Formats: sequence, C-alpha cells, structure tokens
Amino acid sequence: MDILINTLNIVLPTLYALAWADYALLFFRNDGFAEKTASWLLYGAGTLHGVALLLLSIQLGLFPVATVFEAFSVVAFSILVVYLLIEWQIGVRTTGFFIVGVIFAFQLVSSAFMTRPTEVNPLLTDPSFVLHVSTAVLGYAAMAISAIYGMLYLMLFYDIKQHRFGLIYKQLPSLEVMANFTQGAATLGFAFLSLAMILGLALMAKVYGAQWQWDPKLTITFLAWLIYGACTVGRKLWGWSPRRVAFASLAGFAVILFSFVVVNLLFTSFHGFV
Amino acid sequence: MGSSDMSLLVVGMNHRTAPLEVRERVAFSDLEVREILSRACTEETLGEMFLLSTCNRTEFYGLSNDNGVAEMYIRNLIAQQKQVDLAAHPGYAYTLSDVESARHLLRVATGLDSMLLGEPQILGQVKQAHQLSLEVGACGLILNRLLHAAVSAGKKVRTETRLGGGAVSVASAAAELAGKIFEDLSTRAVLLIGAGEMGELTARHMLEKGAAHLTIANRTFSKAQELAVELNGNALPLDRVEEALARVDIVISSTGSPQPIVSEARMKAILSKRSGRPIYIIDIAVPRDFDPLIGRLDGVFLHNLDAMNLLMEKNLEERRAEIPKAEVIVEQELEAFLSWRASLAATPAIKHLRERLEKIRRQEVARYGSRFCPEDREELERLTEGLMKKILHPAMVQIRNWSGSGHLGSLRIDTIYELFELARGEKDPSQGDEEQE
Repeated sequence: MDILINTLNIVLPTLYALAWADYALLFFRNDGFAEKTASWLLYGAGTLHGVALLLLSIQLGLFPVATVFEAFSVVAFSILVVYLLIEWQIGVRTTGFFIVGVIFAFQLVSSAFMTRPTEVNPLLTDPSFVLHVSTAVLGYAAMAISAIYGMLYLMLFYDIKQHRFGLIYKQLPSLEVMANFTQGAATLGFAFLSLAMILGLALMAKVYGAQWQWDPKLTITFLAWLIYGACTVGRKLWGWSPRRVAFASLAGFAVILFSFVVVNLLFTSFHGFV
Repeated sequence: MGSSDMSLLVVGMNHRTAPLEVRERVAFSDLEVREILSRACTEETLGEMFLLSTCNRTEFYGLSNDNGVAEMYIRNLIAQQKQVDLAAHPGYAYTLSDVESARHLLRVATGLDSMLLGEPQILGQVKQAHQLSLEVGACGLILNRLLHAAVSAGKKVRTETRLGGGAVSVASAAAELAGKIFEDLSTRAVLLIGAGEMGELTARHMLEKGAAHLTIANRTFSKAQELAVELNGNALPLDRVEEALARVDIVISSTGSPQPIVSEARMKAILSKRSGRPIYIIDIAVPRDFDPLIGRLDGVFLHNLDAMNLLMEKNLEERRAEIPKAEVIVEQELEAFLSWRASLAATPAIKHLRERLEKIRRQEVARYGSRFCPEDREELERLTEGLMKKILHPAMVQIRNWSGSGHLGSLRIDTIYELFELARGEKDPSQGDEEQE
C-alpha cells in the first residue's frame, strides 16, 4: 500500500499541474481542446485524490490531518469538490485557472513535504478531534474559495471602473456572480470555523481541563473567525459594498495562511501534536 | 446543356463600392424582387437567379451560358428599373465570375463582407431572399445548393468563431457592460434621463436584454409620458430624478443640459440610501450629465461615450482576429460545393453507360432466352444483371472519384463515350434525376 500511496503522492500534483495548464489554455486562448478536457482532467484528479485520502486513512487508521501537510492535501481536495460544484452550477470554466492553481499549490506543498509521524498522539484518533479538524479544514477550504473569488471580483471591479476591457473583462463571469460566491463561501467558512472552534474549546476543556487561552494559534484563528463573521453579516448589518466584503475575505485568508504557516513554524503552541 | 455546364456570376453593389444615395435607389422591395425573378425565368438569359437586396447591398446572382450577356442583362435591368446609369459610374458595380461569385456569397452570408464585420442580420436576409427565389421558381439545382452552403457557412461561423461576438454599437455595449455587472437583468430597474434618440435606443436594448422595468425622466414631461406608454414604463418629472437614482440599478443619461445634472456630493447622498447596492450609469450626454468624479465612488460604475467607444473598438479588434477562422470555414464550404458541382459532370456519362450495357444485356437475353426452359429464364435474368453490375462497379467508382476530385476532364468523358460507343445528345440527367445517381 505504501508504494501505491507514494505513487499517488507524485501523480496527484502532476495531474493538478496538467489540469491547471488546461485551464490556463482555456482562460488565455479559449482553446477548444482545453474546453473539452479541462473538467474531465479535474474530475479524474479528484477521484484519484479521494482514493489517496481513503487509502491513507485506512493505513493510518485515522483521517489524515495529523500534520499540516496532510491537512494541506485535505484542503486541496475540499477546494476541488466545492469548485467542481460551482463550475457545474454556473457552467463557466474560466475561473478554474485561478482555483486549480491554488489546489495545485496546496497539493504540491503537501506531496513535497509529506512525512509520516513515527508516533501518533492518541488524541488524534479521538472522533471528536477528527470532527474538530475536519470542520476546520472544510472552513479553510471555503475561505480559500471566498478569497479567490474576492480577488477575481476586485480585478474585474477595477477593470470595469477604469475602462480596461482586456482578458479579465472578457473571461470572468459577472461581478454579481463573483460577489455572491465570495459572500456565500465566506458564510460557509464562518459556519465551519465556528463549529471547529466550539469543538476545539470543548476538546481543550476535556483534555487539558482548560478554558480559552490567548495562545498564538487560537488568537490568530479567532481573528480570522471575526473577519469572516464580518463578511457574513457586513452587507446586511452595515451596508458593506461587495468590494469591501472582497477585501475583508482576502484579509481573512491572509490571516489564515499566516496561522497555517508562520504560527505553526515559528511559535510554540499547545496546538501542535506531532 | 445542363446546369453543370453553366457558369455562376454575381453583379452587384455594396457599401464599399457605391454611396448611400445610390444604394438607396437600387434597393428592391420584395414585390419588385418577385417580379424581376419571374420575368428572368421566362426570358431564359439566366438559367437560375437569386437577388439579395439589403440596405448595404444589392446583388444579382445568376447561372448562365454566357456571362458577358448575362452581365449586360442585369446591368440593363438595374438601369431600367432604377434609373441608375452604371456605365457612367463604372466603379459602383462589380461583377464576379463562377468560383469568385460563389466565394463572395459565402463571405456575405458569414458577415465577412458586412459593413459591421460579423453582423448577424445578413444571414437571415440571405435565407429570406433564398425563400423568395424558391417561391418564384427562379432558384434551381445549383443556386439552391450554393445557398445551402452559404447558410451552413454562416451558421458555422456564428457557432465556431467569435466573428459576431462582443458589442459594437453604443446600445449593445451598454447592455454588455450591464451584463458584466449584474448577473440577471430581469430583476433590474432602468432609469432613462432625457428622451433623446440614442438614450431611447439604449433603453430599448436594455429592455430587449430582459431589464425588468423602465422609468423615464425628461424636461418635457409629456414626451416622457409618451415614451413611457410606448415602452410600458413610468414617466417622472426631471426634478424628481434623485429619488429614482436611489432606487434603480441602471441609469442611461442623455440630456442636453450644458452642465452636470448630478454632482459628486449629491451622488454621495444618494448612495447613502442604497445600502451598498451597486449602480451602473451610462452617461452618453455631451456635455456629460454626471460629474466624472462620481466614477470614483465605491458602488458606482460610470461609463461615458469614450468608454463605450473603447469597448466597441476592443470588440471589433477581436472580431478582426477571427477573420482567418471564418475564411477557413468559407473555403471548406466552397470546396464541398465545387466538388458536388463537379460530380454533376459525371452523371450523364454514368447514366448513358448504364443504359447502353443494359440494352446489350436485354438484347442478348432475348436472343438466347428461348434456349432455356421457362424456370431457368428468371435465373438467367438474375445472372446477367449480377454480372453486369460487377463488371460496371469498378468503372463507376473510378468515374465518381475522378468527378469528386475534379479530375473528370472532357477528355476522360469523351474516352468513356468512345470506348462504349455511347450516344450523346440525350436528355441531361442532371436536370432532374441526378439525386438517384
């Protein structure tokens, strides 16, 4: 099984790279071949990715979220599933170039640095822990999608404002569609992260007997949670424009990346298990 | 002589060769077209005829034995019907012969030859003119096939290229931009400020694209009311325009006001009532109706005539880039048409060859049939028929191949006739029963 998992570890980023190239051809050149093959390539990569995660879960006896690099792969898979749903819903493939690029980046980092912990903390096999991490990862994936659509919204917003009618203008769907995805994905991300935080706090009380503490990981995540909360209610409560929601979503995702990478690498936190 | 021996030609004038006042004069109504085509059918100068008359072109397509005579016939016809002396202005009209005329019709139908590159109406006009020609009986085997090829090329260009993509008029550019801001125009309200022609046209376009509701504000209120009745909208006095601005999603402004009618400060106040909902303003007035600084405000998309022109020019550039793809489609359809036409030349030879051999077979069966008992005569018929078919088959295939590839020259046809002692001068099968071949 090790050979199979290791092979998939190489095949997956390769397939995502090919799919990304296909979506690039579609975005930049309206290539007919890419139009026919891009989605299928992504479906194929997604199926293999699902199989890889399943095999890894069987081998480990737990959902593969023990390390940040395993979690990256789950984030990539979650973004992929949500994106395919969006593509199927709006029937537009031109935003795929931006999303598949992010999926490829997450999977590449995951495949390149994936190492198996020699000892698994028994806490990681606890079902409530698995649920806590899974909801957090799903929340991160939704937030990534929100941020990407927020970025696309802003690109098109300024192009239309400043009368630049180039590739971005031609290829992207309407501002309203992208504002809706930014807002919708942010709401979904906020909901999942809320659940993850509640479960996390419950776990903390159960395992450490402790209440909330101003740990760097928790503090940063709390900040992201606040930002996405604002994205969720900003338009209704404070009359935020879609542009402001898009900026906030990008800021929220920057905070999450900071939490994922910088905090995990530079700070010591009780929130590390391997 | 069959239609396969006749040559195509087109005599016509279009936006590139003749000024508008001449094109206006030589435009033919449907009634005139019917009359001309009916007359041409009886006079027999042209084997088949088809007349395309639009605001940008009048073109006579015909099939004739002598293109010189046919050209004179058409030029005289224009001179008599429309009192336009083409001899005095030789540059107004053009004549194209055979393959060039076929290629020309295909290019016309695809929009490659249109004043506004890739415009879609021309395909409908070609179809309509084809229908008229069929009704009168002026369109025969060859022109019918050519027109089918033209329509097919037009459809392919529309679906497989972007030759007709992107807005290239102010009204359609405004609608395109509105579609880039709002996903669904059917839930959007439009405000038209000023009931000028350009503004009205743009508003009509928005309604055609599905905009839900139109409010019209004008200095002369009665004019706003008239237009509101016509477009099923609401009329509003100009001094109440700000309350509409707080409500609507799309604004088209084209008043004759010498200074802006909405300042940046007023717009800020209006935006505070909109709860962050974006507003799209198309300011096509000169001088402008909305202070240009308004375009910097969050939630406002402000486009003036320059922006529209920029978008139209970009779209035209994109259309021009699609010309090679469209030309390839035209050449493919043209080649298919020419191959089909060339295959018609084989039809008489094949028919005569079959008839000749069948005659021989029947004679031989009649001669020796009496030596067979009645039960065996049926077998004899079947045997000789089968034998004949098998002998003829490779020759038929080869003749069709030569014909399809354009290699069936008159020398080869003559050889076939001489080898089998075929009689010429019989009815040309291509006149009616070539489909069975």
